[in-house]
Amino acid sequence: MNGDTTFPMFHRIPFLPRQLLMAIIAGLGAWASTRLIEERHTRYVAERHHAAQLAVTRVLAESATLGEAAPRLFEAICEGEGWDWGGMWEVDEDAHLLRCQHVWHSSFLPLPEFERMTRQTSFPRGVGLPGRVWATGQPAWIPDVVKDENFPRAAVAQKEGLHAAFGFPILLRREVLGVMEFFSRGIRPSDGYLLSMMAEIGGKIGHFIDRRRAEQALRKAENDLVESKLSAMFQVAAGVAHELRNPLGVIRNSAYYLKTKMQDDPKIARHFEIIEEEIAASDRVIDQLVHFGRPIQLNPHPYDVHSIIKDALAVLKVPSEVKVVLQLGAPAASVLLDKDHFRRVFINLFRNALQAMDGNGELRIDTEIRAHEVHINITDTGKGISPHHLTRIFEPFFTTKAKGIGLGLAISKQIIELHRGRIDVWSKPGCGTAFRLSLPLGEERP
Amino acid sequence: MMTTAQSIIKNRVLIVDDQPGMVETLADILKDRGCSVTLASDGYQAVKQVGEQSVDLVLMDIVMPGMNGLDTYRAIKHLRPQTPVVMMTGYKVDHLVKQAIHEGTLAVLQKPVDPATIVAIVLAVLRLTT
Repeated sequence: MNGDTTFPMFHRIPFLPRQLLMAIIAGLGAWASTRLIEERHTRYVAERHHAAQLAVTRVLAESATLGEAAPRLFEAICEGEGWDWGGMWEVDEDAHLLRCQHVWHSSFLPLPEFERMTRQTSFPRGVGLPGRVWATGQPAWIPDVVKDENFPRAAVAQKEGLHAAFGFPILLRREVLGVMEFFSRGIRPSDGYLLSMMAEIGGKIGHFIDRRRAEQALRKAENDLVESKLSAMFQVAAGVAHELRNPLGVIRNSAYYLKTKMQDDPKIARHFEIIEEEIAASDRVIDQLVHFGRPIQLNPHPYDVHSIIKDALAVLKVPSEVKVVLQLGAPAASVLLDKDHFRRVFINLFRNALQAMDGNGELRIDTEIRAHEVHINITDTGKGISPHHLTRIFEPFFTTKAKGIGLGLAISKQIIELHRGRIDVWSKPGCGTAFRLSLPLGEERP
Repeated sequence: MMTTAQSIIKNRVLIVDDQPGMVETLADILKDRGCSVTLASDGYQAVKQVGEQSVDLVLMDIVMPGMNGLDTYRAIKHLRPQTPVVMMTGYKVDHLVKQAIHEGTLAVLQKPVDPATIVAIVLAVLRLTT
């Protein structure tokens, strides 16, 4: 046998017609390039899936709540995988229904009717795309929802040009917490790879929900603990304060009695004055402790704010070097308020101002009507409050004074807010402080 | 038999408080202003004393162990309906205060009460009832 039989192909090549050879080469080239395109496409799709998965992981890591994560999840999946519309459904365990919580559409394609219908619909187990996913706990694919027999939103989908859809469950230990669904304008054959990837994402979202729930429960438990500790502290403080009030009253009586007996000696008289001042200061602390933490009961009536301001001023000892300027410009500033509570608010604010000025300066009180509010501005030329402290002055037990327990402004704010008012503060260290109370005018009861 | 002086000058004050320091100091302050003061450390004692001899004014704490101020007030009113009663309270006992005022208590003073205020009220009431 010769080489002809061993290598017939090679032997015969020279005998093939030239055109046929060209055609074979061209065919081989086309086949190779198709393979190349397919390979590239597969690689591209895999990269896209990978990117979407990464994006989802990142969104879940960065979000505090599902509400915050939802729009970014839609974006990551829709934009990464080329889908036009998404919806997120949550299982309502009591009603045994799926309810739509979040929707998303690509910026080019709003689908108002489909969106409205989706938001208004709730699905029982097994019904529609979300119900189907809920029932099986598995992802589902519908190449064309318009032709699907179990798709109640088909008519609207057709009207707005939606066709392919898929959904996957948000799973936590085999329990379906919710369903995510996605729609496209094109008809698309089922993509098993995408579905299995989405099933994985559904598990990740389930874990995310579980983790956030646990964190929330922990935070609540911590808050409850702090609150119960605080409330116990207030109770003890109020109890102690209360027990001090009676003996303090006796001391006050004794001092009063002695003072009437020993009026001649100015030195002794001065000491009695000191005793009285200190008793009054202690009474204020007791008053604040007794009242704080207790619900404030309002007894509102229409009152002239100006008369309450004057009442409060009359209670205070204004040092001779302090000038008090009253510009009560608001005409007939009658406001529905609890007079006793507001008297305390004003006394507290005026006393703070006087203390900040340390016996020398100007306390300006002016009122004006702005829109449907009366504004009461209390401005002093005292030492001011540093920006760092300014943000904290309404916190209970925060104080910058050597004396005092830091409840005055906290209580004042509480009272003002119960009257649907506001208190704002501005301050410049070394120059002074201004408080503004804004109270609603009119007949609305607080 | 009442003496003539007692029937004209009304100055008999009964102070009722479970806190000994409070009754003693108030007593001294009011005695200094010409009052004739008797003391009771609880509601039962107060009712007993009012039953034995009439007074021109009762100054009484609302929150007391045993019989509270409101019940004591009711008993005094039953015995001597004309006796004016002024109450004092350091507690937020709104229901007792409201009821006491509703039933005719002359005044309820919220503690801390300035002794000068007590003196002024007591003197005003005694003069009014003269």
